[in-house]
Amino acid sequence: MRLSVVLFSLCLALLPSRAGAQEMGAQADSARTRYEKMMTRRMEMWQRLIPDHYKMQFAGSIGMVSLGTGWTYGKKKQWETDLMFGFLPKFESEHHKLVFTVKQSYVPWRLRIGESAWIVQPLSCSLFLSSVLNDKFWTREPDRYPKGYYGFSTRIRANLSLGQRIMFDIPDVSDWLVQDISLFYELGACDTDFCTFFGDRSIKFKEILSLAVGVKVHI
Amino acid sequence: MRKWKTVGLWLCAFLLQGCELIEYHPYDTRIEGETGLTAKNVRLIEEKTRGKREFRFAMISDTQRRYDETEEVVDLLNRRGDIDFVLHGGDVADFGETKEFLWSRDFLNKLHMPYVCLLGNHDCLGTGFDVYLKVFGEDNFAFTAGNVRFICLNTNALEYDYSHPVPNFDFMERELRDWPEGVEKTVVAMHVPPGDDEFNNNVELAFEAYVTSFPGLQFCLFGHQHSFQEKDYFGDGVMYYGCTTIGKRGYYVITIKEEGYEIERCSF
Repeated sequence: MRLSVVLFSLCLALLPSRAGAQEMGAQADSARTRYEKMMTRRMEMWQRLIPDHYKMQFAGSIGMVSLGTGWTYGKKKQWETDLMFGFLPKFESEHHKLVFTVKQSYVPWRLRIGESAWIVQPLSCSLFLSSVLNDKFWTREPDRYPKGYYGFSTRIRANLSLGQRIMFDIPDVSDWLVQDISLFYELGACDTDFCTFFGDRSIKFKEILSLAVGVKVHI
Repeated sequence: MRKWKTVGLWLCAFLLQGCELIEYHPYDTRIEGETGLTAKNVRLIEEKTRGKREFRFAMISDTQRRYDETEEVVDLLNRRGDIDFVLHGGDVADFGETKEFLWSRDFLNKLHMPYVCLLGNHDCLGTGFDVYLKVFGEDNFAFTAGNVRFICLNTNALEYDYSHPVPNFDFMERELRDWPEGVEKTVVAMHVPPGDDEFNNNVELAFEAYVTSFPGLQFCLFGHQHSFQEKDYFGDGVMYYGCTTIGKRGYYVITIKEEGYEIERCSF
């Protein structure tokens, strides 16, 4: 369901931009009409929906391996939004599972190492929601339960994480096809983990932490 | 060059530390450490109480997200020294997450005596049931302590939506048919008692008919309701004793005697 929404938006973003480009070429010299201005604006708006980075991540409570795409934006490219799909092998359970994740990150600083192409991003803060795409899990309790019987969702987990990155800022993009590549790690915990941790002294903070490592390719 | 060595060292340290921090998902069912605990502990209980006509066991229940109190009660039962085994009334996990089972297992494994764990309704959430099956064992099981057969049942009917027989009459039938020689008495233990929202109340009379057909039935034990209870639910003289949650710092000490039994509410 969610995937189709994303794909549909992508198609919308691509289609008008092609059509618009042909028209613009034909009337390049003449003054722009109101219609053309509107079309340009519309094109630019939809083009923003084209994702500009890809991510691959190992672990981190959203699957064993996750692949995702998203947007890097902001004046200093400090904001990031990701859509990710994680693969969760079945281990002791009946089926393999897919986990869908929406992630919002804030990466406030970029520190270049000397004159080199390497950039350190000493902090990244992320908030993400993950959903297990399996009908054994519920967002709201099924009707058979009395109202508020469990009072939480087994399907959706809200996580917080902090991490660091090292980025290789590619000097001449024209030969490389990508702007930069970063390696990152993050340490996070989810809502139920915090619930356990704050209700109990015997569970140490280290025990609720979950590590993720991954790579981001910015086109 | 030296810079790279330092980076390499850091990376190694990070990876070693990282192994414990890897979680694919809270419900990933990735289990490290001991499994099959019910089978192992049943063997230990049977060996320990063989030939005895009197013995004592403790019942704790609903330890979900109460690791502090669980740790305390484990310590306390170890120090008493007069308990032959421990019966856990179910709900070792609250959300059904894999690591909750492993945390509970590790705290309960500190008991100096064998223990068995019933399946609670919270243990069924998400992939909880799969983890329970692996870490502990079957949801319906039985063992013999001295001359008493303990019938341990999964009664969390609401969790299964008819996809799994709860309560499992076939299991009870098999137990009756293959009754071990020399066993004179029965104790029936379950997480959810008849009459509860979670129980399949449509079959409660059939359930009671099976329960009362066990030889020398002493009483029934349950957890789930987070309070001490004592009731003759069906008015047929069979007592149902409810054990409170460990969060309310209570547990039972039950002594099976040559004639009858003693049940003591304890608090700490």
